Parts: sequence; structure tokens; C-alpha cells
Amino acid sequence: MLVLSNYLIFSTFLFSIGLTGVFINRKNIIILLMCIELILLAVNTNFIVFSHFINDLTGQIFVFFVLTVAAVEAAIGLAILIALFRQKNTIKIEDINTLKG
Amino acid sequence: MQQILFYFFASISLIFASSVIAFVNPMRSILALMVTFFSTAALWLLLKAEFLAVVLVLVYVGAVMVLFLFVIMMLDIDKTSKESRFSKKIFILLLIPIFFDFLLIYIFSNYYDLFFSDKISQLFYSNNFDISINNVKGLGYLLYDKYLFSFEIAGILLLVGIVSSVILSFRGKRNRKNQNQTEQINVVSSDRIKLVNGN
Repeated sequence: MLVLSNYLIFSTFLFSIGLTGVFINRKNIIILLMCIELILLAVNTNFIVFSHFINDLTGQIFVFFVLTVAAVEAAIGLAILIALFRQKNTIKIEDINTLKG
Repeated sequence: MQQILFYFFASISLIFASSVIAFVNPMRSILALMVTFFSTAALWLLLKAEFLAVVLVLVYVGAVMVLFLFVIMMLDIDKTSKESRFSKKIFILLLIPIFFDFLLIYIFSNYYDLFFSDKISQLFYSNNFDISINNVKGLGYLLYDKYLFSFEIAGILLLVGIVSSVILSFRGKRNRKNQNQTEQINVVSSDRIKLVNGN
């Protein structure tokens, strides 16, 4: 018998892995974007789990929109990445310090 | 049977998700991310979200991941892949996700009854739509009726995404024989003709 917590623990671990990737990764922006995709996947899984257990389809509609936003975000992020690579000739996070952050 | 499938796909998904952040070569991590998406789509199938599972495989694995692959192939990854990708404060930074996990386990242990039983469906006002008939049909009814405005906004968002990614990666006119209007308007007679003195 699968209960809510099985799926919730799974998606929390997925979210934590994505978060860990964002934190420990200092070299490659592409991996950073992939980690954001992982985090969004965990969030979507949460939406679907609650939609299943509450018996309400609205959560799945939400996932639909999150997928749209994530696709747009990936497209624009990769376009920015390419523009950055043309300018700086690197995709290392350390080397990108124009904003002095 | 469901439990076996759940644990199988969940473990595959978590293993490959951790290998996404562990691989040094971005090409390998993108392939691991694809496996993660596939197994998570299988988990969504277990939750009776068939349409979204198919959309995840088609849109994500089919389009977005291929976009990532293109970008990785276009960029010069040899320079970045040789050194270690991780920062030096890795152990301190690892504490933050571990904190999240313990927070969740704490919440679970406090509300044990809620999360480890089927009672949750009784707690919410629910059933504005019968989920049992057909997932795609129900989603279509909701999407084109109740959430039509949001759907249109999502379309506009996609349009904005197209335009902005084209603008960002457009390098301007190169190797094209077109006229420079500003130069033409601002021309003065001395540019065109030079009067040479006889001396």
C-alpha cells in the first residue's frame, strides 16, 4: 500500500539533490540549469502526488503550467549561456563576475 | 506490485539524479538526467497522471534535453571538464540539503497520522471533478474551461520565450550586403569629392 509519505519523501530527496547540485557546483552553468530542472521535477511530483491523493485534478493543471515555464526558462537560460560564452569564452561560474556578486 | 514498481523507479530516479551532480562530464550528466526524467514519468503513471507522464517524456526528454545536448556540443567543454567541478566548501554546503531532509522527517514524525494514511483526502474540500473517468478528458475540461485565461497566458509566455531567445542569440547582420542608412544620410560633399589644388 503506497501512501502519501512514500512519494513525498521521494520528491524531497529529489529536491535536496537538486539543491545540493546548485550549492556544490562552482564550475559549470549547464549543470546548474540541470539542477534547476531537477528541483522543478520534484515540485511537479509533489503537485501530482497531492492531486492524486486529494482527488482533484487542479494540481495537474498546475504541473502543466510549471512545465511550460520550465521549458521557457531552459530555452532563455541556454540562449543567455550562449551569448555569455561568445562574450567571455567561458561557462565557469567563477569567471563570470561582471556584476561583482 | 505497485510497491515494487514504486521502489524500483524511485531508486533509479534518485541514483541517476545524484549522478547528474556527481559526473564531471556534462554530457554524462545530461544522459543521467534523461534517465531520471524517464523513471519519474513512470512514477507519475503510477499516480494515474498519464497525460503529464507522456508530456514529460515528449517535451522534456524529447525537446528540452536535446536543447541542452545541443548547447553542450556547441560549447567547448574540454576546457571546463578537466578540473574538478566542485567548490572547496563542499562539506559546509552539503549541510543545507541535509537540513531540509531532517526538517521533512521531523514534520512527518509529528503528523504521522496525516501522512501515513489515506485520511488526507477527507481533510480537503475536493471533487470538483471526477478524476476516475479519464485523465486526459478531465484535464481538457479543466484547461479549456476553468483555466482558459491561464492557458492563454502560457501561450504568450512561450511566444516571449521564442522572441527573447532569438534576440539573445542573434549576432546581427553579418556577411550581408545591406546599406547603412545612417551613413548615407550623414554624408557630406567632402566625402565624395575632393578638390585638389593645382599647386
